[in-house]
Amino acid sequence: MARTKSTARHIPGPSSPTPPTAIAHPPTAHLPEHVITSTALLAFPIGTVVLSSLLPSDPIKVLSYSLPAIALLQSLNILLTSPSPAPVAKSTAGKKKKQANSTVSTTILGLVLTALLTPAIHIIYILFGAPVTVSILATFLLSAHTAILALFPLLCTVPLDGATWIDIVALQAPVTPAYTAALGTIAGAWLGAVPIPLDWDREWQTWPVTVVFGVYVGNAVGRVIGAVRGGKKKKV
Amino acid sequence: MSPSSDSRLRKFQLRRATRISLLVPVWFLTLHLLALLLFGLGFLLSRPVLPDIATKSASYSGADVVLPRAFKRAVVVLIDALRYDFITGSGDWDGTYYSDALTTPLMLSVSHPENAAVFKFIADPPTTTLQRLKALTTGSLPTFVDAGSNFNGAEVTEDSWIGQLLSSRGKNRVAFAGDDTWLSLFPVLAHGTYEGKNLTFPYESFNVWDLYTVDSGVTSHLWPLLERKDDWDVLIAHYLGVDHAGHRFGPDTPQMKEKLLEMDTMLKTLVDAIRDDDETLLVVLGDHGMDEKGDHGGDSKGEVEAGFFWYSSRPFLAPVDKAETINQIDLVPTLSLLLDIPVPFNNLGSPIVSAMLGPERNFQTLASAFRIVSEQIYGYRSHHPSFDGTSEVTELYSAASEAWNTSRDYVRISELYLEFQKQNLKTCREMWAKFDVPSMIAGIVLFLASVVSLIVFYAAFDGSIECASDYLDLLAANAGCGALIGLAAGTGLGYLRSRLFTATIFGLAMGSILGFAKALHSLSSVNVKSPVSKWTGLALLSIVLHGILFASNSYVVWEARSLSFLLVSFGFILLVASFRLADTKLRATAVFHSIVFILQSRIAEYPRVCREEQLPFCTSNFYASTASSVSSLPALVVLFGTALAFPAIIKSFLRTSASYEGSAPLWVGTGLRVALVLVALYWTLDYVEADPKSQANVEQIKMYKYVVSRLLFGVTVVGAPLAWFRGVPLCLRVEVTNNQEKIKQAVQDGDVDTASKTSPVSVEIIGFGNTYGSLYMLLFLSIFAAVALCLKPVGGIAMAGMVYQILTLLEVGDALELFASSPIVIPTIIALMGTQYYFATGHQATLASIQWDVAFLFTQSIRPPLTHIALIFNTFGPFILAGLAVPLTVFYKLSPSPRDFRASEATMARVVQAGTGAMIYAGGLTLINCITTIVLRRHLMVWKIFAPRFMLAGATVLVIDVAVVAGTFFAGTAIGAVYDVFG
Repeated sequence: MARTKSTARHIPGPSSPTPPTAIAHPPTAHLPEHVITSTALLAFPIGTVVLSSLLPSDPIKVLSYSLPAIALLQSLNILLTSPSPAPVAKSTAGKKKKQANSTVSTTILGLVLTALLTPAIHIIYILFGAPVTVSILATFLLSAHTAILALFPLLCTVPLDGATWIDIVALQAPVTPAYTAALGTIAGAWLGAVPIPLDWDREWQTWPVTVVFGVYVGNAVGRVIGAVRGGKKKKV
Repeated sequence: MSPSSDSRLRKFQLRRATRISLLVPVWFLTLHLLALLLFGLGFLLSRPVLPDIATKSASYSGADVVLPRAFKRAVVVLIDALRYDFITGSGDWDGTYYSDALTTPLMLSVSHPENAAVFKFIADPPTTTLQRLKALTTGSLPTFVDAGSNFNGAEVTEDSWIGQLLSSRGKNRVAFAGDDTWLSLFPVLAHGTYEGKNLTFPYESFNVWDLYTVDSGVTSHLWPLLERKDDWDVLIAHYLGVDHAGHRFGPDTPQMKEKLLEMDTMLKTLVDAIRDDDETLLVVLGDHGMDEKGDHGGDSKGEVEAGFFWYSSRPFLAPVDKAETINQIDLVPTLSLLLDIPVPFNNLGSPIVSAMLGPERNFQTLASAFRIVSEQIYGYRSHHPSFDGTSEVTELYSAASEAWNTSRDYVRISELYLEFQKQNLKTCREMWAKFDVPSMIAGIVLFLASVVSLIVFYAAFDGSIECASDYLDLLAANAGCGALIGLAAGTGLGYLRSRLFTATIFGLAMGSILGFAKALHSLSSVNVKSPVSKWTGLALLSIVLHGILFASNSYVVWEARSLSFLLVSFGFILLVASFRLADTKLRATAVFHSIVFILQSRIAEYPRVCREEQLPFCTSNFYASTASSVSSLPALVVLFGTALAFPAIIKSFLRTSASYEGSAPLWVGTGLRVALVLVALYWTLDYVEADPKSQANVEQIKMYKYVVSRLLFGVTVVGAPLAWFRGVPLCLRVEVTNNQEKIKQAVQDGDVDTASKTSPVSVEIIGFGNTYGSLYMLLFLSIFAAVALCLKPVGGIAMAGMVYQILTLLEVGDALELFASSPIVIPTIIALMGTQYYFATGHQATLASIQWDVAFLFTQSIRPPLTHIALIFNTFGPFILAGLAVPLTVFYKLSPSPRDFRASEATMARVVQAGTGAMIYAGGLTLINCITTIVLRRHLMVWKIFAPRFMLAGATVLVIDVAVVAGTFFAGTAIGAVYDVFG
């Protein structure tokens, strides 16, 4: 835990005039990150469309096959966009390597934590009205996807201390792409539940297709908003 | 002025202020009532049903009466949603799938004009199958609310040709195959057997997606039944495929063509089968048509124009040049005369002219038929309360009778009788079968104005207003003057435009609103506060989100789950807000209670009785099984558990403010516990009584039951509240500490400062911080116990859950200081919970879900007012508790300000404001409901889904308003009592 705390870095949100919080803001931005971010921004809407066209026929199959792919994509995204260390006094090659290693281990740890938190998300879905005794696998896969989209980047980029996470739950944390993506995912999941009761008898109305769709669209929108907000702040 | 007289004056002033504050909720209650009255009278068509049965009167056997020759039997083929142009086409091929498919009727009517004819068959809206079948059998104009003598909505209690046939020809003379709606209308059909052979073959009408099961089933039974033609006098075959094809695919589709071709083949075979039988009449008809999308229920041209065709191998018709247009109810007297049975008592239709004339064009027969039916209609009018004395229509009847008695000019007599029947039908239709849209709009405008005034009042009238009672005096006087002026203007205008009732009501209410607005405007000190707090915005948003559900039948059907979703979402918002609290301990409390609130909101969705439209995605769990309305044994066990545990929950909440003192242990710990155990005992006795296997003496158990229920009702509704009013059971304990030792010690230590500041005796009032809240809670719990008694066991458990959830919400609200930042948000959520728990207590937004059996909770027979109270508490218990809980949002953890008259008055003002908050929710919701109802009044599901939901919304707003008035009154009493003690 302590190790994560020391190594995990925040997304290099450029310094903004937000009040001082527990989260540090490395002032530097990195060029490759933008390339990656924009690729990811494109990749997710495309992925959404592909996924949503495949989903209604066999949601469980599609969700379980795409789960590792999404996890990999997210991991790559996190690894490539994760900031290099804040300019410390000494920056030797050895340290850099160590830094890279620690980023990998942070990502792995984040993935493990994400997996551990998936049941919690499952419970939240049940609280919002997901079936308790039936479609358990479908709900669980949905929870896993939600966790990977919303929690995984947050867990890897935000220090694991109480005050920070209380700020995050209280919606008071500073705006970063990972954070807006998480909020977008939640909003998308909420809105995704809306069309389920309609009596249109469409294939895509089966649980959890609309929510998966909402989660992905919400995540993409959240990312875009985060990127735009971040970009604007840079200019200021 | 002496201090004592001054304090007496103050007490008097406060009492007056609390009384005059009551005017506010009472006024808004009245406005809502009037608005609902206007809207409801325009929307809910209602018609009193007479139970009389017709007999063959003298008019059948007069010397000059010639009746048309009777058929021995009839085959009635009802093709659901058979639109007129399905059987006629438009003459030439116009490219639609449905024309030129079902061609047999038209071809036969052209080739054999004396044996067959096609008519345009006009239905009266509502064009739903149930209402249409009622009309086609009774000859009346069924409305949504047929105020009959029984509670079972569907069963036909009026006279009908089915009933006449069964009573005159024998009990088993109707054979039936098809839509099972017939069996709910005429349960007697279910016993249709003849010599051991079954004559009734019902099929479920529910599955709209299935085009084939019903039709192939009906056809398969039709041929064998047709061969056994001596076993029945009327054979009814009700096909559903065309209707289902319309709903699912639409009229202009290949599927419809296929369906119509199937019907055509069936009709051809049927006509061939009776070609040699001149004693059988074949009638083919549609109960309604369909619109372009294939739906029905409203009054568009396509929906009301159904098709009609009849055929007999014996010539029985006078050929006509052009296809006649007849009313659907005309079938009733025609069929009655042709089958030689009395015309049903309630019939409003006229005999079909071409059949009465016959091929010989005998006008005496026609006049006789008209006379018989006119006699019947006149008899009906004189029995019916809606017609008053002599009118133009009655004069027409007199003129026709006069002509019958004096002349032999049968053409003229027929014309006169027909004119009477036409005018009669016209007046009846105006009375029963049309939405009164202006009245509905007047209701909506009034509702809108009252909700806007509520919001303005809410924003203007908070605790900060100086001298609230003076302010109310002015408003009340102005609103009263406005009402009088409006009343006069409305009456005058209404008289001129002959809409006296609508205009009077509208004028009265609008006048008082305008008077109120004028007075508010003139009060310069009143400024509507500009910044709306986020929580207030959230409250208004939740009203809109709940209201938006009424725009779609799916969400109305799944309202309970949607509300749970909304409440859980609100719980998560509370959770987020709780995490923002800086104080760690406070944050932990708020987070804990927010999570509990979320869990409660989810669990509240669990107890349910499913409505028909939710099947098969829903399983009822409220009763022992899905098919019974008896409670299960586990529910009773949990109810006993709740009775024992629930007071402990209350205690834990009172403990947080150290208020479990004074009268609380007796009232809550003992009184409430005993009351709830008695509730459980009552339902156990009920369970034993209902159990067929029990050996116990039913009469004795019944007696015990009534003893328990009446005792409990007397204590909780009369005794305890009286004690509360008289005794003011404050939950306080006075603790006196002697500080002499402490002072001595301080003096010895040389601590002069402490010694001089400590008084010799200190008095501490334990529970002072929640004086108002705990006092009010006691009364609230007493009424809760009465409501719990009137609910079925699972409902009682749910109600305890609701009170628990209200307390949880109050605790979160207290931690987040929501009562001060937005007085509306918690009352809104509590009222929303009222709707949620309405569903959790085994109800649905349908008339069928009313638990009529609790009418006999206190008495063996229907005995007002106890029967009504039991039903109201059972149906609206959650709303009553929600309304009564509203003052708690002000009182919870509120300590009195001793000797502060102004503070007490301000507290009263805040109670009134919180009450307006709940009324904004109820009024706003019902307003949205009225708007969606008027927009969707032609919707297919209007009578099944939207009209019942409107009735629930209307009842909700009134019940919440009344409960808020009562709560405000109790709160005023509590404030006065506390002021008496501390003032």
